[in-house]
Amino acid sequence: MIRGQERRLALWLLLPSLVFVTVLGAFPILSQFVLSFTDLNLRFPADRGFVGGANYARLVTDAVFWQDLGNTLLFTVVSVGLELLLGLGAALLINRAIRGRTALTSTLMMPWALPTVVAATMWSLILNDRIGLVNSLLSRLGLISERVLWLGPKLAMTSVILADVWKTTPFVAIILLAGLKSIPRHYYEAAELDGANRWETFRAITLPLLKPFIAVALLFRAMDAFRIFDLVWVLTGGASGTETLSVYIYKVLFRYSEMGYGSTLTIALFVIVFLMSLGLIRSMRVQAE
Amino acid sequence: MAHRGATIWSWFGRMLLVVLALVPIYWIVNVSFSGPQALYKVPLDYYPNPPVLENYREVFDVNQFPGNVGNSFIVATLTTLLTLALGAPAAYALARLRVRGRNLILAVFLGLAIFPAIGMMGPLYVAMARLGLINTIPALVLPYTLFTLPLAIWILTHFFSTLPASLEDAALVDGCTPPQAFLRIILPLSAPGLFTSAILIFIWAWNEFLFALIMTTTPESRTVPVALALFAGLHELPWATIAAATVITVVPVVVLVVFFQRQIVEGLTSGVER
Repeated sequence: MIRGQERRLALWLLLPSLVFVTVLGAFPILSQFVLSFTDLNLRFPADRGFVGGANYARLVTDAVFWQDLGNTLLFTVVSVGLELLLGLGAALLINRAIRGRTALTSTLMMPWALPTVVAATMWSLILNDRIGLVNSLLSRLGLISERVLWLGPKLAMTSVILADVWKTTPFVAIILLAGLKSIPRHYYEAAELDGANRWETFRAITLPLLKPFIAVALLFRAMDAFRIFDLVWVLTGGASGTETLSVYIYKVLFRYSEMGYGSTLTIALFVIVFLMSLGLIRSMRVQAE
Repeated sequence: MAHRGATIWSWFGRMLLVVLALVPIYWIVNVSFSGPQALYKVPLDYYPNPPVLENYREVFDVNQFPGNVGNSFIVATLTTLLTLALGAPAAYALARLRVRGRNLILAVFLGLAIFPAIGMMGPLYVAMARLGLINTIPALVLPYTLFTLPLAIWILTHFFSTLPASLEDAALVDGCTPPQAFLRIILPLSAPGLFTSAILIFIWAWNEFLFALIMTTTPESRTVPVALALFAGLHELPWATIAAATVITVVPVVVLVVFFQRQIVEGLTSGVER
């Protein structure tokens, strides 16, 4: 194909989506940058003005921001950690099944495919301290003598993490299962001939070859977990130490109508997620070399 | 003998997985077929005793729910079509043609995928309000397409790059122009890839909550997840009705998962190997 002709075709093919993204996406993102330097409050729109870096200075000394950053980090590290561990276990179990792999995968995918709001509503019923299934089962088994407040101050974060683990472990498992399937069988046959036991085989063959898949799952999950909103919103509304950065941003923007400071928080969250993704991608590259 | 022991253990592990995945879902189905007071029995019944249909009747009679289901279908379908119409040509160009500024374009889509959706809500709401689109289908389809486009381009770029490199050349030798080569040769061959992305986009749009909550203010214009979340505000937590509405919401997703499991897995894992 002639080079110029090819370039022209490429341009025409790319143009619609680039125009779409520019018109619809660039405007909101840029306006966030601009607004983050103003003190626009929708309750007093006439009073808005350019305040320079004041919002960013406020962010540095905002105790709620740091508290919620801590909550978000805790949520991300614990839930993604558990999801990787359990996802790996589930993938190994499914991969070893001789029959029924398709049915198993379909079953496991159900939690992932549910709307987050539905999953959250479901869990808030199941964890309800008076009429929930969990307390009913535990007390019938004689494991608890009084109602456990799963969504109360002590256990709320644990419950949010558990609900997230239930919903997204399947995603990790599906990615890792694809990884396991991509490992050639004769590697394992060779290891068996060499007399390697299961653990040695896992350490020497499975884990290293699975690394790129683990990395992708980790990246996708970490990015999503850091921006978690729906699950927390429905389960606790951000109460009891479960307020994450996205929930805080939602409150600042839509409850306190502080568009200026809310935009600053959005930009901060964007930068954090961006740096985190960059860091993860970098460390994967280093690992791969 | 050790081997047989391990087999039994992993069978046990798989059963545990199934139980953990399904028990919460079973519980909602159970509540949806039980009477409104069943949840307050001590001890609880773990199956519908007796099974009733009144919760489903309630969902369909009292509320706008059928209309909400319709909205969700239309929004998810249009989002899927628009995303593919925009994304497939772009992904083709990125995968198989020389493109100036390729890395910059990829960076734009990546940035879009990383930007917190919550921060785009305000400006997009203002934009949709100015255009008079609040409470209409486009107010959801347009923002949704913005978020599904990076995903579709990611999957389809991978898919197009797996097709044999000689396809277009053969088409050109046979007298096709480059656009014809794309439309007549590549597009039909990429039906599986398009289908895979379509399922993932549909599920994403069907499940989306945040924008649907902001962009709709009337009961008739809501999508299913929002209608469901706002049930709680209507009555005093009518769990049995909520459960019935939940089951209705979940049915299409379950059908997609059961029938198109292979395609979904392909979509989720595409591009990982690279």
